[in-house]
Amino acid sequence: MSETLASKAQGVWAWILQRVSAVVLLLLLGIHMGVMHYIPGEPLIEFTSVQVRVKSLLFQVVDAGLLGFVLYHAFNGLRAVIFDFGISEGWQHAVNWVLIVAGVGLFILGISALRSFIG
Amino acid sequence: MKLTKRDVYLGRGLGMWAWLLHRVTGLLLVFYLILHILVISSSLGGSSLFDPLLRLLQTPLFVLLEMGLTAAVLIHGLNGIRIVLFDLGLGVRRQKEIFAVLMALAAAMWVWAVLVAYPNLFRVL
Amino acid sequence: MMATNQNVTLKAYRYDPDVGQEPRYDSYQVPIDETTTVLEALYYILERVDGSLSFRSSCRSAVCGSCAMFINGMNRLACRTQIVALNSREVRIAPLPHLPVIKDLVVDMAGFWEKYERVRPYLITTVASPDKEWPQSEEERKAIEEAIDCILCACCHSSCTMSWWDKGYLGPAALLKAYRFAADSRDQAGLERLRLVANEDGVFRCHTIFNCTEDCPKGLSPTFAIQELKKRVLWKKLTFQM
Repeated sequence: MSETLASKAQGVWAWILQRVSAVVLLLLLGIHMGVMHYIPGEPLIEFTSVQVRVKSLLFQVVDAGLLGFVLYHAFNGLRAVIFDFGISEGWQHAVNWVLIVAGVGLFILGISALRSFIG
Repeated sequence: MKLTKRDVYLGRGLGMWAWLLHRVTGLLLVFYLILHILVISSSLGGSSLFDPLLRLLQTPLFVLLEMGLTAAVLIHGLNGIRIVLFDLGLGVRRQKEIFAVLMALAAAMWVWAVLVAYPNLFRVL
Repeated sequence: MMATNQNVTLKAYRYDPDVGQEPRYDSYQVPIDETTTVLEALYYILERVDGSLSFRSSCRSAVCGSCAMFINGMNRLACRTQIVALNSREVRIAPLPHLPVIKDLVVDMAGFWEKYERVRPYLITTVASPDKEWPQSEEERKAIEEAIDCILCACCHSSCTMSWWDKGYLGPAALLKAYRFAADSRDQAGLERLRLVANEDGVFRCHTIFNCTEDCPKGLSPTFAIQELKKRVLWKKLTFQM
């Protein structure tokens, strides 16, 4: 090659995953909201009524999947909003770590909340 | 260099408003998501903590707020379809029409959601 | 439509950093007919009313891209904007938004050109040039038909919300140019072209706001070009070529 271009692809998977999670969320969030709020005549949400619902393995899988995808989508989206302001590379690293820690923390909290209904 | 009194670019196209709506609803949803996970994890304290909290959240005020949440989800989700289509190279030259159709759909779905939720206003008083 | 052969009020942004005064808008009465362009009105002021007014222009026919300005709320070329078509009693002219002002309507384009250079805006080939020309089929030419029309006036660069905030972002004009070469059958930089834009200072900073497409005086769509680049990146990534 007579010319060499600077070549550093970066953020490609983050972008692809953002779109994939978006499509998955359309489905899972649709199910989640439908089941939780939009079935006429559903019981009030109480600890015991949730326990009944959570018994189903399918519900557990859907709920855990929803939690993971929505947290990725939300926090990667937040990352884009912050990076849009053109912050320095040092700040970018800091923001990345804060968001990863917060996201993983909320995922663990959410999963343990789900388990509390099963246990 | 002083640039006071300089005219501001407001943007005229629907695309800018679509983006702004997407961003604002997105930030709202992140805020709600964190709140939602914190509220639900009150279950770790058992039904004595979970039930009174959830009872409060099913009173009319919160059911109304939930309608706002539904609007945000519908706008963000349906405009999200538009964005995914663009990234597949579809509809870029028809962005305004696609936005209008999707927002009309969002409005219709929101009205339906409100009708379904309406009885819930009176369940926990 | 306004009646022809009448006066219009033209308000032009005035600012001279050497004098150190606050920026202001000066009003001028300019006689117009149905064909008078904003650029002609500016020349009328320059030649007969106020010789201190500064603005850029050259070809007067929407080819050179020098006279891009913020005219009645939109980035336009002064030379191809007819005042009658603005449908307003007042013409309000400011320098391109979010670019540093050198004087009056003249902006500093250095940042714009720096981004333009970053995408290597020229043909890159690996084999020796042919004696006469690089032949292209009709279809190959069609692929770059639109992108090739860009006159680098910076209307899109100035209207892009992401370019306002993220000074590292390549922006619509540079990315349109990147696409113009990525889609050119004669260019042989291949994957390197995509790598250059497949990052968060490149195509992923674009959130399809379409301000660039709205304001392009040549009717081009940098958004379309950016989405085409994204699509190519996606394909290369999913087939493990990148």
